[in-house]
Amino acid sequence: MVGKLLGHSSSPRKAGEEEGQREKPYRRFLVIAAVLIGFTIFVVIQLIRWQVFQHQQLVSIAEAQMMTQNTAYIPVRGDILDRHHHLLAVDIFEYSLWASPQEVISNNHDIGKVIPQLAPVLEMTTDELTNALTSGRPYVLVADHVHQQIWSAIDKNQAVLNMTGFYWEIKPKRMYPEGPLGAHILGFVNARREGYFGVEGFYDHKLVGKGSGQPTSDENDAFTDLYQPLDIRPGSTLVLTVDRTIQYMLENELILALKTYKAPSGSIIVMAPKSGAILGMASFPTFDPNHFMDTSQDRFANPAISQQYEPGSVFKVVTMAAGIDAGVVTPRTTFNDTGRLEVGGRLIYNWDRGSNGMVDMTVVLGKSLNTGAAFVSTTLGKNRFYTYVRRFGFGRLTGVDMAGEIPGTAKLPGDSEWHESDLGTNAFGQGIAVTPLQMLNSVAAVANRGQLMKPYIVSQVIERGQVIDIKPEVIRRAVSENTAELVTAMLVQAVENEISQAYLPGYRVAGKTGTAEIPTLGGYKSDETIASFIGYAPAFDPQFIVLVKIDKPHTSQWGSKVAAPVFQRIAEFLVDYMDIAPDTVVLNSR
Amino acid sequence: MSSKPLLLFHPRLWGHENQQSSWSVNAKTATGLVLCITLLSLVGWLYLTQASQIATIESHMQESISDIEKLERENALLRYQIAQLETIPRIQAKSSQLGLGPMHRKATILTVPGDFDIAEATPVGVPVGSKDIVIAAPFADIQSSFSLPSLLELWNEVKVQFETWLGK
Repeated sequence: MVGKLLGHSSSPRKAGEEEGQREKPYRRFLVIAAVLIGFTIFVVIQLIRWQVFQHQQLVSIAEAQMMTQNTAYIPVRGDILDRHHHLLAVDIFEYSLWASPQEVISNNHDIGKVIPQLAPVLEMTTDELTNALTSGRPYVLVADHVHQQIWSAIDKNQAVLNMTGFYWEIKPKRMYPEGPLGAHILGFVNARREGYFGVEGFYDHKLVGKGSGQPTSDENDAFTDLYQPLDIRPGSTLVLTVDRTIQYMLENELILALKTYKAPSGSIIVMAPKSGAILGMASFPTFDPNHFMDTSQDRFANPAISQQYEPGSVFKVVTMAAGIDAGVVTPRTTFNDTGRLEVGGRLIYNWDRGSNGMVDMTVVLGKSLNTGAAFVSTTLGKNRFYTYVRRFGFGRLTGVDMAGEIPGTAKLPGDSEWHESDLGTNAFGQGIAVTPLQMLNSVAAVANRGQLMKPYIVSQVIERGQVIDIKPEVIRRAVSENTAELVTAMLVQAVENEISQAYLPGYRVAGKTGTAEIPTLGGYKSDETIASFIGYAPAFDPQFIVLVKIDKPHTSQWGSKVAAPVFQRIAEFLVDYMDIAPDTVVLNSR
Repeated sequence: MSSKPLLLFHPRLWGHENQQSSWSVNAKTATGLVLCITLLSLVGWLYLTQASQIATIESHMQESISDIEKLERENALLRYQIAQLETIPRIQAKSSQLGLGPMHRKATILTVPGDFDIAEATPVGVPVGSKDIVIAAPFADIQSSFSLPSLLELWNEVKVQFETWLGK
């Protein structure tokens, strides 16, 4: 066929047709040229069609594609959930609209139409937008912190609005849907996406994800961040041991208590003593992590782990446990309380300056006798007493997984500041500084049959779909199981006989009050105390342990009057909420 | 000086009569050329078609990724908004609008199996080995202080809850 068309025939050539034959190669050349020219014409026509007639249409498509390719180049921070997977912290997105004024003007022949359309959507005046676009700078920040809904409205109407020359920068923003609930537990994330305080601070490396660049606030450098790392991974999700309902109840009870007793501050912690899992941790004054910029910095630190105080009589639990465990006293060991006792040249008195005569150790704990506690510590001797103090975790970090924990101050024999009289005063919680969590954890060791647990607040880390469980961790055995049970029984009696405000019908509650004086330079404040109570229930199978600490109450200064009733209300709620059967129901036939 | 023109638009015969003009192409060469052009065009067309398809697919993929990211962002906002709607203060406010009030303490009803010897029973968790504790712990007091609600009391409790719900 092709051969025929080109004159390539197999038929014999006739004489006399030489001229015609000479013309054939020329025809072939014409055919080839025609094919090539035709092809070229086709290509040229197609190019003209694209470049001239469909130019605007194709440019619009290309620009629309460019505008939709706004990718968040900062990895999403992991969520924080409570134990029932209620959302406590999440990243949402906000947008910054940048513009290249030169590009905007050169691509919009009628800029006067674009500005009135765009300005109201961005919640700006036309003057503001005009000023931004005529600033003469190569790139300008037109609008910052644009809400996702506004962005969506603009995104859907890109073709109408003609967004050529505008660029979106997408930035995640940390939000806390429950507002101030659990603020001290959670902490916050600053403008540079760094976690501070609480879980945000402690687990920043897990939450932050991978592929993160440091966003800059300098608008001239903004476009350097448009580079997108190839491997962006979102941060891990954290599941807390905290129950938001318990947390909410604790915060309400704390605020109510502070109002009732006219106190400026306080803390409440609820923990599962068998595992060390923190179920709730409330402190006041607090803050809203959504608006941390508007809050005074001194509110950020969690007082439950970052503030130390002299615990007062609740420390007698530790002293008594140490005495019984070392075998120097038993619950029935008697002591003649004359109302005062000299230790290291310092006279120790009871809280009411009274004397009780011959009393046993159960009464010492029940009536909270300072002299009795000093009797135990001096009988133990400084070496053994302070060994137990250290064994219960005082003077060192508990290791809780929250940022900002401090170790407290436990002076030891040999330290320059330690004095012989400290052996007596430390026994009833004076001259030793602890954090509320440390104090709670030490009593929790008694509740947990002598095992000191490491308190923890994150129960699961979810990394790319893989769930990593965080198991309870035993730090060490503080006292023997038998000692712990004996002390628990003594604490049950203390509640039954002396602290009716903490009594819970149907349940045996073990607990101890504390009324601690507040140290000043060279002495103690005469009119201000820290009222506290630590209790756990059911005493012999404890499901929760609660610390209530009210600072400087004005209506009454005593732990039994101020902190114990708060404990009672919390315990009443917890036994219902946690479905804990009364002790009278849990029966076992011998 | 030669009189040979630089450019010819018509074949001319030079020297011998039988010599073919420089523009002339023999049939074999012409066929080869056409085949080459056709083949190259075909290959070019295939290459361009595939490149175009790849570009289109990549563009669709980019669009899909962009859509996924957009949906993820919308999802994050929705989750945040749902969590805000689920906060306890809001649920409390809504439930009080519906006439629901706080729950009273749970009543625990004791059901003792017929063959269970209560006299020989002891609460679980008591450290049996320690006489001190058994003597010290006031179990009897606790048991006597905890009385079960009567059926009438339970009925009254249900009535109170129902009336609260009705908004009386």
